[in-house]
Amino acid sequence: MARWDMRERLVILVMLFTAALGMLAMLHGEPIPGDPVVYTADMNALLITAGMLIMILVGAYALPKRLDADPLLMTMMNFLCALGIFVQYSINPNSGLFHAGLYAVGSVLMVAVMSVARRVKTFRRWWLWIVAAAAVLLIIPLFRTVNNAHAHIPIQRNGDGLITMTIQPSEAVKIIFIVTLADMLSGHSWWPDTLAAVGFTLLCLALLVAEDDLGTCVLYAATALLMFFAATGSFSLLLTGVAGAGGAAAAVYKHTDKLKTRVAQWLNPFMRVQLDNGQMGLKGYQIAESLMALAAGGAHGLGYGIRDTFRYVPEYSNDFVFTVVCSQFGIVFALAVMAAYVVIIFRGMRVAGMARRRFHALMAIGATALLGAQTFVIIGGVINMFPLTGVTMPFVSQGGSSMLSCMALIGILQGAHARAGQDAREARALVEPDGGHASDAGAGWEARV
Amino acid sequence: MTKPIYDALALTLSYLFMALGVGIALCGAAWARSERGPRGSAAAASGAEAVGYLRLSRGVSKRLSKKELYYVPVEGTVGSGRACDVQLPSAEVPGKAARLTLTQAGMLLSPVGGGSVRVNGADYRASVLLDEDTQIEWGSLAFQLYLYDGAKELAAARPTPPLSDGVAEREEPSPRRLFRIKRGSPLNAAAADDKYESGGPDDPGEGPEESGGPDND
Amino acid sequence: MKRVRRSARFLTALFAVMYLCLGIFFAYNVTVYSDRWFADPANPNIMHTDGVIPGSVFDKNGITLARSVESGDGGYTRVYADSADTRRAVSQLLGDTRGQVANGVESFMAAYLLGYRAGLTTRLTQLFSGEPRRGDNIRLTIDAMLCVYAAKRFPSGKSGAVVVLNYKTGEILAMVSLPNYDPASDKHDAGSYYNRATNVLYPPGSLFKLVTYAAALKEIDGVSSRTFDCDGRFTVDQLSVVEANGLKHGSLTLRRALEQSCNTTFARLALEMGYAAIERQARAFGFNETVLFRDLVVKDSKYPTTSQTLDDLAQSAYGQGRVEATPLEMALVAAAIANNGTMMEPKLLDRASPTETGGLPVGSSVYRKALDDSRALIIKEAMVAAVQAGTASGAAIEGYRVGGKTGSAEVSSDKKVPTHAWFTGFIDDPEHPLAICVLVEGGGSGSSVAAPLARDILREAIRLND
Repeated sequence: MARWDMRERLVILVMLFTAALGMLAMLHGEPIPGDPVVYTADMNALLITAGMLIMILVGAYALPKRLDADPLLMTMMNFLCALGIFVQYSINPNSGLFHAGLYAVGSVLMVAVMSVARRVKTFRRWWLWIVAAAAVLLIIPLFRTVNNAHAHIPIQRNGDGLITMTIQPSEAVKIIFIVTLADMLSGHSWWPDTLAAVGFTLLCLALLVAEDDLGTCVLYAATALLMFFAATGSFSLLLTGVAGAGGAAAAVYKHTDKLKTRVAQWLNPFMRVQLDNGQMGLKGYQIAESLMALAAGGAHGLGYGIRDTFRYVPEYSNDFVFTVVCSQFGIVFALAVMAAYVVIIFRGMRVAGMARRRFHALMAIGATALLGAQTFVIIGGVINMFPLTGVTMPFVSQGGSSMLSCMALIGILQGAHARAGQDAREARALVEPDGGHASDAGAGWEARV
Repeated sequence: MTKPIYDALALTLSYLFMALGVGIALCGAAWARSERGPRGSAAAASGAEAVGYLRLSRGVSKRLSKKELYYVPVEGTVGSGRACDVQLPSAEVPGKAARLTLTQAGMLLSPVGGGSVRVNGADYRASVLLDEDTQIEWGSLAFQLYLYDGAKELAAARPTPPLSDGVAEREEPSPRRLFRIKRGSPLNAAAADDKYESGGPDDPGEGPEESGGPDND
Repeated sequence: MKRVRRSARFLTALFAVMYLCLGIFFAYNVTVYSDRWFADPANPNIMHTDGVIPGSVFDKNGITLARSVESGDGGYTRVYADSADTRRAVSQLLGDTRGQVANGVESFMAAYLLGYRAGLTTRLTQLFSGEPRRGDNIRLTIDAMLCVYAAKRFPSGKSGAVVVLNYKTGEILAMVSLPNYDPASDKHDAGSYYNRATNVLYPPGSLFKLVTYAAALKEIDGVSSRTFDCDGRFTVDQLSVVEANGLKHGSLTLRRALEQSCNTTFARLALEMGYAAIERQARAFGFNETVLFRDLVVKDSKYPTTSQTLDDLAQSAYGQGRVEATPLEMALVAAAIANNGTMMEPKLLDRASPTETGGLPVGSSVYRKALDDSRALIIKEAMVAAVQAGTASGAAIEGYRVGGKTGSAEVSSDKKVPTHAWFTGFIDDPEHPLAICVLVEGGGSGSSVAAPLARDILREAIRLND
């Protein structure tokens, strides 16, 4: 059957990619200072590659069979995760290892979420607890901050007292937010549920604004808007929402400096201005450095692990990781990565179309919208299509909370996919107890022709 | 592994990665395209329960095969257009040819828009109850309807067909109304007594689909 | 559920469109702008060469303008031409990698010099040859000796620029900016880092009459056969247009008006045509546009139309008011006229190659067709007449047909401040298809200062070519 060929082809390509990249990572290892510079073979990389190859096979064959997952979605996610792991590896082998560990944990989490999402038809029993948990998680950061960015909570310090690991509670809340909203919007009664949904959304947004996490706030708002739109099917709602968002953006622009700086940096990143430290520098130096790294990459990239001038790009391991991908792998490959995200979005929306329960359909739309919007916003910011926002790139960016929450979102999608498949089978069984053979349709009924 | 060897390897592989990236993107796209998701008649089957199917019983058409089953929902439109619930993609079938409705008396075939339906060689301007031998004809093609056993149970909950001219067109919720979601039309009164999970503020006539099977938790 | 499904379909389409836009924006911007992004001196890839020895820069005859002297441990020193005169003459053209000179060859073409454009085989062989990696050597279209001559012949103590280019191929033979500096020494004069040929805007003065002339030929029917009356003074609104030195030209044709550089005639033409017509023609020549040349960065020349007063309109006809242009732009105007209206893209890079010689020459490309053949011919003839019998007679070269236009651009209403002396012109000879533009800041009269300067430089160019 044609579909089987496609799966084989894609899996082989992704495995080949992982193997080649893994081999390079293995060979690159840590440089031994000396003359000439020599690299050691790195066993960690070997383990990661082997593990990743196994996971690709599991994701493409075992999970669809056992848990009724969507193999294309799994394979594309694994492709992006493999890319992410090895890109982080080239930045810092420890960071790569950590990312691989996150992937492992995330996979377990994903399977758990999948199993739950496909069974549970409603969250209504627990919604009060869940909303409370969401509120708590969002409020905690208001009291503990890192780098003046409220969104991160330090959970580990190394010997010097420097913070080495943070978590971002708003990432976990993403899942809760989508699921709760989906539940509220698929309720039986119209007014109380929709009011609750709107109230919950506004609460979350307000908390995020208070924490100065504007990027995530934008994403939550966009996802909520799209979920409301999906639930009501009303284009006027969508347009009003967009207009409202535009108005809010204009208001924020007028009243805060942060947005003003971001917009100025977007419009003219290469302009030379006086920086805060008194020296002359580029106005939007983050974007400018990113663009310069992109230009250096060229069509086929500088090569994996060869040059590390991408380290001049600020935040190169989370916000600007796309630039690192472009610099090492080239523009063509970067476009392919974008296409991979698009495939994930398409499959996610397809799951929403297939779902027979409103709750699962809305959840799928929410999860897909969130992933799609987040990727769009970060790539657009990095290539200077619009002002930069501080969100991470799903699956590729370093960051525990980001990776885990994105994999959980995929888990939701797969769960909805499984549920949709199950429902279809049940529905068929309901009307075809004997396997759907034709019966004498007219028997017993009056024929009036 | 010395630096020059590694560099040479990485440099050569950068071309490979570029090609692999393109290959993965194209393969993924092709696969997604081939499984585009429920369309036309399959959508009817997954979106609403199929109560039966149409089968091409006479005539030859390039895009319709005698082996394929065109699932028929509880109620919906039939025609060659993509918006139809039962899509029969043939030039001989009009874009929106007719409407099929399951009623207590059986499957009703109604003409749309003041047209007529051709059944067993004769034209009817009013609704026609379909029988196991009934051939619905468009052009040189003839279709036969087959109903599942379980359709009878569903039919018991359906309204009786009016004996006047045709079943009234179901009123679609107007998208122009701001944020308005219809609670359900009187036609669906029988199905209003559904369990909690069954969808709620939705289009009328889709109750049974949401009350899906055995409760799994 | 149908609603949800329909929304899902709509959202799929919405995301598809969004990502398509993203992809197109990305691909387009990277293709068009990546050279410029890379060339910014703040680029860490330029600042930290990662052990690559930058390649050498040669002029068209093989004279080394810049090269790297390796110091054995993978480091290098950048060394410029041997002769101080040469070093000075091409200083701003070459620029540097530290960002002091904007967009000189050293930074703008760093992608070549640092080996980013090298092919795979070159890179692989370099990796295994045991020697440090070297970037490509580039050969420019510049004739260093001509630059030296131009810098020397330039009136001492004055600032300005000289551009000489081949109007058939677009190759730039000389681009000199005064004052210049010596890269080998630590001291430099104030303002010597600016490349006045490409990076500074000046009022073009009477040179702009070429553009007005071209516009008039198109917009006003039968303008070639009309006669105009010049009595030395023409009052527009608040402004009175006067001729240089209080001359009265009497009755003249349009061609003679260009020959004699009659301000009142052109002012009258402008009032007849209006801003839009002149702006259209100016735009065709490259004014008011964001110019993106492949080999160099030029500041955009401007013909503003926002003032909308009659005075400003009249003044703009002869290049005063708020009209601004770079010397390179005016050279391109003359080049286009000489080349039957086809403006070639200015070309600085002749070839790039990892070896000393060799490499494929980079081809020329047409930038645009600024005006049609017939108009170009008419203006060409008028420019030749200007040299033979008009204000540009100082540019005449024996044995050659030279065309040109002089300009004395006012910079202040104070009559004591000297005008900028301009000349732009060409040699109408297939063996020496040269166009030139010279600008002497505060040089006074275009005819007496700029035209003879151009003549000498062109003569030298011919001599060097033979």
